[in-house]
Formats: sequence, structure tokens, C-alpha cells
Amino acid sequence: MPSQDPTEVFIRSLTENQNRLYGYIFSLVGDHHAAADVLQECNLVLWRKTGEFRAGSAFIPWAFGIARFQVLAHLRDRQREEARLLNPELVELLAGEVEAQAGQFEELRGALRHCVAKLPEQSRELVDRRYFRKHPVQTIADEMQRKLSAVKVALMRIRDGLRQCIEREMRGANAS
Amino acid sequence: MSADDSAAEIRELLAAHRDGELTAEQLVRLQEQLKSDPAARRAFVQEQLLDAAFHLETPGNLQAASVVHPVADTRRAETEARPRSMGRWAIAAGLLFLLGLGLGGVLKKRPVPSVAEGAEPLDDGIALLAQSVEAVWSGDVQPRTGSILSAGKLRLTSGLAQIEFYSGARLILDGPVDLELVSSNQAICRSGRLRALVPPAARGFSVISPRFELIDLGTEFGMDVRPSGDAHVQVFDGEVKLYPADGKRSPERSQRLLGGAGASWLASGTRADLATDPGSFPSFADVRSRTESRARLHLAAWRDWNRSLAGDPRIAVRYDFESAARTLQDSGSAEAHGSIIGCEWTNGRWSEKGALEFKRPSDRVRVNIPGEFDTLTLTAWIRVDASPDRLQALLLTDGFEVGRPHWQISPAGELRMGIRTPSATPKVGATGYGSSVLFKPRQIGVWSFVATVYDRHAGMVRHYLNDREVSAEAIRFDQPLRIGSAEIGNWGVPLKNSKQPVRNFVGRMDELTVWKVALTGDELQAMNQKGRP
Repeated sequence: MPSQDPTEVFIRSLTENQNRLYGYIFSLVGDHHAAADVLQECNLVLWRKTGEFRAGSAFIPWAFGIARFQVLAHLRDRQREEARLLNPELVELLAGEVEAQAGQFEELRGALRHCVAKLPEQSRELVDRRYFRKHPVQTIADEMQRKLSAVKVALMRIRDGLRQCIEREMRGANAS
Repeated sequence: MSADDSAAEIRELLAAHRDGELTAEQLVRLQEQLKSDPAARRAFVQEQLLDAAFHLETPGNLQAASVVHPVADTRRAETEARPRSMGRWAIAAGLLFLLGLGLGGVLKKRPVPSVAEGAEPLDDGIALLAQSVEAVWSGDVQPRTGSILSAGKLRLTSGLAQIEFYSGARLILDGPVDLELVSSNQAICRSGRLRALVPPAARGFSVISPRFELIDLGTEFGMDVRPSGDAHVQVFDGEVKLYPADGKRSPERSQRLLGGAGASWLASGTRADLATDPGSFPSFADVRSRTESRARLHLAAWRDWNRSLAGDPRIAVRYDFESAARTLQDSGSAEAHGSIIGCEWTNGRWSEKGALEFKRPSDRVRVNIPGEFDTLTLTAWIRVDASPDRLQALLLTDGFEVGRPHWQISPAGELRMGIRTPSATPKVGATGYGSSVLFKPRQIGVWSFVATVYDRHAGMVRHYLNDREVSAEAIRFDQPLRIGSAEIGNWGVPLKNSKQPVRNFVGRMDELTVWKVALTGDELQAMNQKGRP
């Protein structure tokens, strides 16, 4: 029987769910730096509220609830910044959908890895530059000596293909 | 608009957002769609999670689970036999990693309140090596008397070692012993002989052997685990409980042993009673008397060697800290005798060896060391007693004049030789030669041999700690060195009544020599060997 030390259970849950929490927060914040900041704050709040978490109860809904609150606090702090993708009202509206999908985040990551591996060489190169290394589309177009619009269209197609592949993979995984 | 169209539009808008091309109108459109259409919301979250996944798959970005899990998992696998709290420090370390360090690459550094309490230094020590007699260690951890020990394996090949756990439990290891420290209240003995004293404060201390787990209820006992896997325990006083080593502690499977009783649990599965013989395990008094007799022998050998250095032409000044007066005697001429301010006499590497204790900001020894040196070696035996969070002086020349060295420990714990070069301002004109970090919390309270060699002929500055060279750096400004008026363990700026930085050394020193020559690594190693406590 695994240890029931509440602190240990808590720490384990927290570490195991870092990626899910990141996915949840990023979905609502839309910026990697901001998401990383919010995640860090969220970890601290979770840690402070350890006492509220009872071993045996579900960690994820509790943690997502606190993450949502942190995202809202983040949005409030940045009220005047223009780059905000979502407003508090939309965050509340999207919370249910994010919670449902982010719960499957590890499966999504596994499927993504699998689907990227199946891409033809050239497409993989594009995905690597744009989505993994986050080079600007313009830079990629310049380096590959292709038209900006052509690169954008190619990326859109590859991404569509990846999404369909991931959906298939995840359906398959859930069915088995 | 159909659900597919709505999803497609969201994807397009998000692609524009990713490319940094989302216009204000498009943002309004995106938000309207999200507000009114569940299909748009689903597509939005799907796209966002895909981006998060891309981000996490990128090397160098946050990889929480894959970084932390291997640690936790190995610990879990390794400790299956352990009932409780196993590997907790590893997980806690993982958490700290998450909160502070590990995310640093991705997360902007920000003050971390409450959890880590700012920059408070952390140490995972759980026990102290209080005494050791002719202890030979093998394996990664080579502790010295005074060393702080963290969870992990300890292999004592031969000799005696006394370990004091932070819980209050004390163990004497009678080498060879293969021990693993688990927590301040638990250890695993894979093989070897040990004696344990568990005072009431440490009740509940447990030792796991391949055959049984022993929970101590406040007592003194001896344990002997043979390479065959047979495990024997003798209780000299008090009471212990034995459980099978599978971690399942149920009352009906336990065996109680009271003082005067012993038990053998054999690898074959048979169990037998055992008579006790306290004399068959080294006692705490044995460790003390053997430590003392070894210390006397060592000290006598060191004194012989010390006498042999009298009149050595290589030596500029040598303080052997052997006569406890208010003057620190130079073994050569009275010219270089030091004047002790503050510092109290105490014992050094061996209980009967003299040493000076530096503690207060006023503690210092003023010296005047004549001569100009093309080659210079500084050697000392010191015990750093506080984490260096500021510069701590070993030997500092007054002020900071051209060609005058400052020998000190940096706030980071490096051994450092700073020398002023001819230049307009001290800041620009200082060259510093630092070692790697030597004085981490683990080295606090342990006697160490430190040496620094300045060699114009070779064009190098080298630092040594104990038996190894820890840095070698080319001289950046070639000039002879002078010491003149200087202080041991502090920094005096005479003449003016101005305030000055606090640089006092916190610790003990019981030997300091200034050599006119560049000693070689071999010579320094031999010196370390002679002086090792």
C-alpha cells in the first residue's frame, strides 16, 4: 500500500500534474511566458492551501479551480494591456471546456509525438521551426526562400493533418 | 454558421494570434464567437492545448513530469521495503525544483514568498559524523569528522565511525559497514556491525536490515548483519520491536525484545534466541578513548614534523599556534610575532593542539611580514564555522595597495586571492583568482587544509583544498608580492577613523605558514597528510 502521508501525496499529485496545469493555464492565457508565471503562482497557492486538500479526494478539479482563479487574477492585473486574448467573462465561460480537455492532456502529448513522427521530412522540418522552436513565419519563409503566404498555407495544412491524426489516436486510445 | 465553419474560423484567428497579426477587429470577432458558440470554444481549447503540448515537447522548456518522475520513481522502486516516508526528500527536492529552479529557464525569476522563504540557504542534512577513528570510506561519500550527512549510502571499509542523527539517535559503526541513511530517524543496514543508542527524544528510530525492521522504543542495542543475510540483534537496555522487512507492520507479526535479550533472524527463515554480550560491540566510551589516543599519536607525529621545519629557509613566517599567549609566535624571528586582539584560545585539530577562535568582528591577529616575493605559498589549517555569506578574511594586507594580496573566502564559498594592480581605481585595478566553491554548508565545521600558490616563474596561481588542486589560473598581471602590515582573520584599515566592511573570519585556525617558494602539488599533499586530523 502506498504511503498515505498527506504531504507526500500532495507533493506527488502536484508534480504529476504540472503539465496538465500548464495546459490549462496556457489555454486561457495564450502566452507562454505569462502562463509560466501564472503556473508558478498557482503552485505557490496550491502549496499554501495544502491543508484544504485531503488525500483521496480528486486533486485535478481542486487544482484546476485554483488555476482558474489565478488566471482571473492575472487578467485583472493586466486589465489595460491590449494583448489579452480573453476577458474574465470568457474565462468563466471556457472553464468547463478547458477542464474537460486538459484532463486528457498527457494523452494529447503522446498522440502529438506519435503524429509528428509520422510526418514527411519536409513537414516535420516546418513544424519543428514554427511550433517547437517558435521561429516567426517570416524568418522561416526567408530561410527557406519561399513566399510568406505559401509557408502559412503549408503550416495550416500540416496543422490540420496533425489535429486529425491526434483525434484519431486519442479516440483509439480511449476505445481500447 | 456550421460547427465546422466556426471551428475553422477560430483556428484561423488563433493562427493570426500566434503570428502576432491579430487585429483589434479580429480579437473582437474571436471573443464574440467564443461567447456565442460552443463549437468555437471547443476548437479554441483544442488549439491552445496543442500549442501548450508543442511548447512542452520542445527541449529546454518546462518538462515537469519527465524531470520529476524518474527521481520519484527510482526512489519508490528502491524503497519498496520501507514502510513510510520513503524518498520524501527526493520528492520535496523535486517540488523545490518545480517552484524555484527547474522552471527558471522558462519562468521569469521572481521572489518566491512563503514556501522557500526567499533566499534562505537550504540543506538536506540529517546527521553528523561526530567522531571517526581510522575510518576508511569507499564510495561517493567520503565524510570527515564534523561532516554533515544527507540521505544516501555510506560505506565504511574499516575503522570506527560515530554518527549522530538529528533526531538524537547515535550509531557507532564498526567497519566494514554498508549503511544507508534514510532520514533523521531511519537507516538501512545492508551488512556490518553497529551499536545504537536511542535516547527518549529519538524514540521510534528504526533500522532496517535485510531480515527485519527494528523499531527502537528508547534503548541501546547492537546489530550485526552478515553478508549471508543473517541478521542478529542484541538489546542491552530498554526495548525494541522487530517486524519482517517487508514493510507490513502488524502487531501479530512483531517480535518484542527487552534488555538482555537477543534474536537471530536467519536468511533461511529460521529464528532463534541469542544471548547478549555488550562487550562484543564497541561502546561510546571505546570510541572516545580510541579517538583520544589516536589524536595524541597524530599530534605527536605532527609536532615532530613541526620541529623539523625550524630554520627551514623556504619559510618566511610560520605560526604553529602552539603557545597560548597573547602573542602569536612566529617560529622564526620575533619580528613577525603577531599581536592577538580578541580571539580566544581553544583546541584545534586535536584536542590538545592550540588554535585561535575567530568569532566577533573585533577578533584579529595583527602581523608584519617583511619581504618581497616572486613566488609565494600560503598554507593554513582552518575550520570554517559559519556559511560564508560575505567575504571572510584569512590573511589580508592593510588597505589594498598595489602588489599586496588579500587571501580570503568569498561570499560564495570560494578560496580567493585578490591582488591590487597598478591602476587608477581599486575596482579596475584588482585582479582576483578564485577557486571553485569549496565551503558549502557541508564543509562547515570540518577542519580543512587550504593553500594558495602564487608563482611568477610559472605564471600561475593555484588553489588547493585538502589533498587536491582546486583551481589553476594564469597570472593576469605579473608583479612581485609584498605583505607587510596585515591581519589574520580580519581586515584593518589603519590611519583613518572611517567605517570599514566587516570581513572577520568565523571559525578556527591552528596553523598558518607563509612560504617564499612555490610549493608543488606533491609537497602540499604531503603537508596535508601530515596535518590531517
